[in-house]
Amino acid sequence: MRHAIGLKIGPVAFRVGSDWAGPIAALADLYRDYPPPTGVPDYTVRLEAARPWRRWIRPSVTVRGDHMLPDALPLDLAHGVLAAEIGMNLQLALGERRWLLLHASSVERDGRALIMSGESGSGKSTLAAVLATRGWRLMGDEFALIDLATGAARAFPRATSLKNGAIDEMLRHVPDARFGAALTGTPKGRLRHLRPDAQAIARMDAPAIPALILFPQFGRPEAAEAMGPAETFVRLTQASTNYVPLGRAGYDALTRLVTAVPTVAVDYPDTDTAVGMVEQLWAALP
Amino acid sequence: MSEDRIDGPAHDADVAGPATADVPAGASRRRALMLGAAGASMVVTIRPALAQTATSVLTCEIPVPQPRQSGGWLLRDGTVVPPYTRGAVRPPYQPLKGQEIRDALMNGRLYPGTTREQTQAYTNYMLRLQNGQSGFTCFVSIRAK
Amino acid sequence: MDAARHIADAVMPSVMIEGFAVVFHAPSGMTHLLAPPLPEILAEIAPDADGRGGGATAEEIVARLRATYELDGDVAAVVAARLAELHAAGLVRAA
Repeated sequence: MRHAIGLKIGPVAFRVGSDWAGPIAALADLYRDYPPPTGVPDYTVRLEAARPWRRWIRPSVTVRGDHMLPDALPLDLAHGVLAAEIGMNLQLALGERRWLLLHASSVERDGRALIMSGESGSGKSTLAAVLATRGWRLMGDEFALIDLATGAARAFPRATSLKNGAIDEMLRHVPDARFGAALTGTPKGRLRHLRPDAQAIARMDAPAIPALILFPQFGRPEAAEAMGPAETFVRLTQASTNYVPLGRAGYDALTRLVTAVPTVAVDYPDTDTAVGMVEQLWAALP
Repeated sequence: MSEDRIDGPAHDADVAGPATADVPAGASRRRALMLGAAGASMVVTIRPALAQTATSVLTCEIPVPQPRQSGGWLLRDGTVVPPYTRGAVRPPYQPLKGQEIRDALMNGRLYPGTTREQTQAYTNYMLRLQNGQSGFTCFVSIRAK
Repeated sequence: MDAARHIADAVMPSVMIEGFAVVFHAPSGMTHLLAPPLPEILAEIAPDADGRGGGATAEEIVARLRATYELDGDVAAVVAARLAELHAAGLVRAA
């Protein structure tokens, strides 16, 4: 491919190739503080023109790679960095067998991990980003990686993808300079990427022991309720992109996780309230 | 079942040590087991979704039969047999698309350009897919939606 | 009751979580949560660790359960219904 970049995010190394320079330049900017990868990439992502003339006429990006979902809708070139993110997500979600993957954000304090599982719109990514401004180390905004043998959480601190109102929220906590370019009109609406802070990048290879699992839900009156391990188990199988393909190893890792770690469903009206609830729940842990 | 990690169901009242005269063996040591109503369901089977990514999961495809059995024809019940076997149908020329599979499962639609017999054979083939076979995860995710 | 013998399909790892047996059925790669009395019934018809033995008729299962537990109600009907459920889930097959 004409243009390419190597990225190492936590334990995962990607090579992203592209028919256009734009998306690669945008990635280089977002990940400029990350140590460059050495060695062979784990996954390849290719941002390709759907047809040869699509490189120039109404350019649209088709996302391909080692793992693909065929017939995926192409994206505008202007949203190339989103295409790259989708491509990297797909590789991890479809191909990863070294860790149990959960759709969850995670932050670390004192060697212990807080894992926040939820769908798009639950606020898990914003909450993690805000906690990272309050002394927690950001481990990831979208994927939590659970070591199959030890149960430890590994960090995957990619540039945090923030949408719509979450962007304005985060601008209250961090300077504009920490953000990448603003994308409008994407399939997810308005989008900006937030670069993880220096601590998150420097410690991206440090694992942490899961100590608390939350299911956050933004936009509701403040409430917290313990969730039993059976319900947590079922919900986390829905939140995992590779539980089934992992077979026995996934079953062992997930049963171990839910029996060892308490879970709380947390409703919150705003992030400041959520941060307070998190601190209270964390302090109450044995 | 073996390998219980947390205590599983208790078994026979084992008399450990000398039995005391006033404790009858068996009856008083059995724990109650709730049987539930005959009509109730006691099994929850995990049917996870595939990747929750920006792209719809219905864009995944299933090759019928899987590449390792490429060229095989299909019996009505979904088993793969040599080409031209009596009673078997031709496989589809292309992998089946997620949306088509969903339409077949939910609405009884035929796969494009196929007979009812072919559609049934293809669906039964996919129902028999095991973990590790090409298309298994795609099919599980379509059924879960 | 008929004389069909039922046997647990495999030696399955099981973890008790909140009263459910969470089992992994390797041949299908599926995970199931089983509420009592399913785990207890499976225990009565499981092969040993080497995959040998196990299996029982519905009547034998009822008898073994009675010997081990205090039971209430129409045990035969419930055991028959539970066995059908286990067959449907692929966890039990004809021996």
